[in-house]
Amino acid sequence: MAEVSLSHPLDGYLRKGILPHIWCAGCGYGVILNCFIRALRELEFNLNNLVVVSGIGCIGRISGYINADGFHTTHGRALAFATGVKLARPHLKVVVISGDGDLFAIGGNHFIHAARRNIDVTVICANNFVYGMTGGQLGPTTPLSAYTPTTPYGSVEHPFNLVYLAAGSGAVYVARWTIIHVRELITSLKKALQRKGLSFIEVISPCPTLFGRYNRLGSAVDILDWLKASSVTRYHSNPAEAEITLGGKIIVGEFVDTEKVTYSELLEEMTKKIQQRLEKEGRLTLASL
Amino acid sequence: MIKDRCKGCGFCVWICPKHVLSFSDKLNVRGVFSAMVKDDTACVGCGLCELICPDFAIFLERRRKV
Amino acid sequence: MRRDVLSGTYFVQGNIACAEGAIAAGCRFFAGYPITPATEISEHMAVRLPEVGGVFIQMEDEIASLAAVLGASYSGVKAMTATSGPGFSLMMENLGLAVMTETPCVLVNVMRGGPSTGQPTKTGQQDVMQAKWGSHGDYELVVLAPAYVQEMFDLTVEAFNLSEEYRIPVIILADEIVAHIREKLIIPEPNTIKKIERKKPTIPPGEYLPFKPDENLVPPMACFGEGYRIYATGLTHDERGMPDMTAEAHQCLVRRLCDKIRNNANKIVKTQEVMTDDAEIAIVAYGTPARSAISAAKKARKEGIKAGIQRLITIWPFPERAISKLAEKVEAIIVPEMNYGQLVREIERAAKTTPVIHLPKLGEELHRPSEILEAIRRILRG
Repeated sequence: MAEVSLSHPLDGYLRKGILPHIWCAGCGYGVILNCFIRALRELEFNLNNLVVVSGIGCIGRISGYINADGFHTTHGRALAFATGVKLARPHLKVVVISGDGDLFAIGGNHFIHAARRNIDVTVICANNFVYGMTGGQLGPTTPLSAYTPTTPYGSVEHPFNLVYLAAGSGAVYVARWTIIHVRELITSLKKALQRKGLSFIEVISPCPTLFGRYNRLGSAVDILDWLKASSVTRYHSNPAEAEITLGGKIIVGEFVDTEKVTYSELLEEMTKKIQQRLEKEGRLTLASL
Repeated sequence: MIKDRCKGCGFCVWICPKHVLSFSDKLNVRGVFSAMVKDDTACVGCGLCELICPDFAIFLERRRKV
Repeated sequence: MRRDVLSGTYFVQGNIACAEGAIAAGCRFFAGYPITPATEISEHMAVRLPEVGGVFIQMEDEIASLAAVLGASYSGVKAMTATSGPGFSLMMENLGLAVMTETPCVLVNVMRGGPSTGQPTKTGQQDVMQAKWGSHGDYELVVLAPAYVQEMFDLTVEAFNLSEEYRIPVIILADEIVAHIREKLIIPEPNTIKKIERKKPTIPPGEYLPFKPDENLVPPMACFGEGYRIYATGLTHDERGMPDMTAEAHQCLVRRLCDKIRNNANKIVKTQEVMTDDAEIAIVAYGTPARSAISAAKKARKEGIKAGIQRLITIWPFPERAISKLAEKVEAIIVPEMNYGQLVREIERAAKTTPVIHLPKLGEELHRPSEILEAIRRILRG
């Protein structure tokens, strides 16, 4: 017989008093939070060494929910901020959790450079296909012909294929799951958290309140049915072929799974060399510049 | 079930492979019909409901079988 | 043997002095983007920071530069960036974030001709108002105006100290001339350089509230990785740092962010008074034009004119009281600026009924002492 309880085993991973969170009933962002916390727990991660950086948007609130150091940046700048954190304190685990618009429209430039540099940061993109917080407007991942308040006649823009973009920018680990793939998502999160370099996980979590409503996708549970019907799991497939269209297949799985020397490692190596040379030769005055 | 955390999204009801869960006919403090255990003898302890709940409103408790 | 602070006497350009001042103050993180006429600061930091165990990174743009600086500062490392007008404009949003999250940092703006791309290699003082009002919302910060290469060093150290003490971004508002001229620089011994560090919490993590202020209105600052599980956001927030959309929270926070500077303005504001004790005509100037003003005033004195200069070292908070006091005893105030009328508006306001003569100058040249002297003579002629 089920008993009514007042606390949940994962409550320690959440700041006090943050429930109920702001996400709508039927929003998958709570699932992302859930899976992320579980990944931390399974890794027995020391939360004192975690910094969660989020951007602006519905998912941006997540840094205020997790019981670890957190920072809610200006729109699109989470990765640049995270770069500063990681380089200042290389021993900390820095995780950027943000949305499709924040990371890839306004933040697109910072993403590709962080990936290019291979900054040791785990990036989780909560992709709800729109700018949810402001009312569901078109975003860089809104599928072609979809309806949004800024595409009232249907979108005429091709969306990004995020896993392709991430792979092309140099990310060392690239995966995509949806919110129904809870076990696979936890596995990927654990892998990404332990991988040095820029790991990228796209989590498809369609917004039922706005995107779903404007495109007549039905209830939140209908959207889960849609995800189940459209998802195809493929490991090591070509990310270029993983485009998302309304009515098409959503390819999920791991696309890139490699290792590459990180920015911090190269920087540390260089700094050591300089300091050794300094010990030997010494720079005594500005004159030797 | 932490009934008053439930927002009634139905994810747990949807994902449960054994149809253990359904919706209550009583409103909770949020004004929604929360999920509830309909038939806990069918539960096999897969834990999917706990993994997919966005609101930390449901979790499994292992009981010792005497 | 490694020496972090390169004590000694040098002949270097202002930008180098600024970078060395930062390092002497304890700056160990720099994120920047190349832009004339500030690039030398980035380049010098790129050479020096690895030597002192710090981190230099050239980011993809100025927006990212300031964002990375904030990240490093919140991780407990003193951090700085340097730019000019166009980059300064890009940094405005994150400047607001720095204010709102009370992140100590130093931002150097080496002013050039504007607006827009303007004259990249020529001097100007056209960003004076922007330095105070550039970001949206109500806020206060400190802006310092060096006029000498030595001040590029000294005021950068001062900037770090102010930023740590008040948990604000501090702006060094230099101009292309002081950034690029070469003058004597004395870097003192490290133990004579005053360094202020941010206040740390004295209570354990369970009781600490990241935005609960002390009596001086500044909250002690726990940083990432210290076990305090802090949270900061650009949204209006309560003392826990959690978003709060009530009117009370907004009033309380915005006022405190402003008052922590306004209430301490008399401690923060610095001016240099040159021959103002018995002055009948005063020049109020800042940055390199002040040097021409000093030269002009000395020449005027030789002609029997009682001229004096009040050089504003702190531009913001605006030295209201100093100027009002000066205005009470002089017949007129001359304001030479390398712009079309910015700080003169504030000076007019503070001077009340005392006439203020504006000497705007646009283009590559500094005011010549002769121009200012002629303005002085014109006033006397009536």
